[in-house]
Amino acid sequence: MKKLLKSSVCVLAMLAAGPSLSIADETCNSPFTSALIKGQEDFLHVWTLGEVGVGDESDKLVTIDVQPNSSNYGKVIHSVSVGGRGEAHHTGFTDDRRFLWAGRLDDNKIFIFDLIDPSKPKVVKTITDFADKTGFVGPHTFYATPGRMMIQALSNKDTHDGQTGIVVYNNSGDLVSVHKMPLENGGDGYGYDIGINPAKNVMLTSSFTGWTNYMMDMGQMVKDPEAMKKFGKSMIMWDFKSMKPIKTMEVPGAPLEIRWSLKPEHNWAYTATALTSKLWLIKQDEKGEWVAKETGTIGDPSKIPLPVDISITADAKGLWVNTFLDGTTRYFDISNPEVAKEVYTKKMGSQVNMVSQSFDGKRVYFTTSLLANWDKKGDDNEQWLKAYDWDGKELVEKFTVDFHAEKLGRAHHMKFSAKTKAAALGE
Amino acid sequence: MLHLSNVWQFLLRRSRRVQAGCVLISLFASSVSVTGNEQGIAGPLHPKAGTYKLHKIQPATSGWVLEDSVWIPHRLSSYTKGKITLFSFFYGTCRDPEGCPKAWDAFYAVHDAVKKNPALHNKVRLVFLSLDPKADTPEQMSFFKGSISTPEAPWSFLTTWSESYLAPILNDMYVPASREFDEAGKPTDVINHLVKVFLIDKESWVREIYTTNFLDSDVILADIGTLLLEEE
Repeated sequence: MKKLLKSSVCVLAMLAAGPSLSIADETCNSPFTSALIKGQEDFLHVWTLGEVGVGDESDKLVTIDVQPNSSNYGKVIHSVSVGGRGEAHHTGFTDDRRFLWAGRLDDNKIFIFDLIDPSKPKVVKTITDFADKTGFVGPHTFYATPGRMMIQALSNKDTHDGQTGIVVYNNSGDLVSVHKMPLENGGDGYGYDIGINPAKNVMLTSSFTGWTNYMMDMGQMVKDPEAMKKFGKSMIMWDFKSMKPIKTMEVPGAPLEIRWSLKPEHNWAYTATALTSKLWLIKQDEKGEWVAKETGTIGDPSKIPLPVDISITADAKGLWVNTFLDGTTRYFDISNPEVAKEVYTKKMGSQVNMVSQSFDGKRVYFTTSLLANWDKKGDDNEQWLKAYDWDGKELVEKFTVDFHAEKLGRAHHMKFSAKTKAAALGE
Repeated sequence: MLHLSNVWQFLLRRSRRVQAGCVLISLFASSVSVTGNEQGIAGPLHPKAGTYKLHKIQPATSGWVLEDSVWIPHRLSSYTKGKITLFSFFYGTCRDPEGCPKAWDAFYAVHDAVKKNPALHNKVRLVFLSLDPKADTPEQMSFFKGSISTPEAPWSFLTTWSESYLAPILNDMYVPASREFDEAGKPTDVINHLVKVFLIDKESWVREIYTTNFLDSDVILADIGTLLLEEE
């Protein structure tokens, strides 16, 4: 893989020095990820679950041209199948934004794509011994740190419950260290997302559920009281340097995605709870203690709209929140982070999961799939990518890619890339 | 020689700026090596040296480099073994205030702390490797070394014969770098690169990697302290 860095054409954006490292990206990558795309993104990569009866039925990375000036705007320009269906889920860039790591929650394979030519990603390495080497399963969040990739797992290979941990690899894909989620001092052992605030030397983690639940049919699971007890209810603040927990905060109902404010003067993060349908603020109180505080309600919690992905604006004044079961996106004003106000609502379709916005917030993309066994059935199993412009008041649809009509599968996680040519040293 | 003059002025400026912070840094470094478990702190937000583990991230790379003379090549590995090494890339004409100068600041502060603490003498070395072998010749690198390096706190300034010798080292360290072009498509003297600073242990393992916006000399010194305590 290292040899590929010798290619004569590379993404200039990924080579930018210091200034671009100061804040996270468009808008939820690790703050250690370089080369934010602050202008127009050229490509959108969608980590897609293979689906029985759809195309080659394999998991794949789908690349869509999202450059409005391109003749291929809104079209699928590339697709690379990785073989089999292993519950493709999330992805993450390395710190140099050269490689995209993509994980599968069932068979635990991790595919490393080289984006030296972002229009044609290609697999350069596959990690197949994640469970054997770490004891964990369900590689979920991929979070870059300098020269390394931090991975939050969801479960473990022995009991398939929620006790899990964090794994660190180097950029070559070699295992560096393994860290268990704490069971002491209020820790419940679950894991889901990672968010690092380097300025404070802290890392925040959230909690979900184990393999048995996330691989179960959703209809079956919600009728099983024992299964519904097996969800996380905590967030943990860690000393990032030492990887030691420093505070466990009770956040009931499976707190999922973590979004730190990108403003350097801020010192707080947001999350949404899937089962209780609440927004939470994590901040330091006047004594410097990390605390979690409920700030708003998402839809009607009694109907379990199931909040899933969230996306914070670069100015930290707005938050997109998708609710899966009612297929709705909501925009919250969090200019006062203590009080989240819902100011916009739009029905996107029968189901919606992921949301990804450009750094300037003017373009917002949505996809549909949550988990293969949690997606809706029959006609309600819509699978698409929808691209919108956002003027602060209304989402205006620009194009839709129907992932069933295109014979691709279930559309899940999205990442941007951009093309700029420069000559790498030595070429 | 124009860029050498600029760099020299830059170094003098840095030297004056860093002096004020040296007393505290020196005290910290002293506490690391002298008092054992009463290590200094890297700042209120970071753990004390020796209270955390620095994992082995990757082996430091090798490759052929030049120091002092164009005629005598050296293995880069000879500069990353036997001592704790702080390693990074730079180039003499780097003008991005958020790029190389930040690395210089951190290196300068660490170098000063090492110089002032006898317990750290000959245990820590600093190494800069040029990204611009055409401009940064061994002779010019010797100028930097002669201006800064001391026997108790060696600071090497390395270069390579050409970019083709440099590229594999960059690849191994996952440091992308490319030369910027002007509007006419001609290469300029600006080299875009992701600034990374590597802390390497005596056995030539990379144990920590810092990027410019999170580059703090106090943290580096705490990490050096952690490695030294590990050796004990």
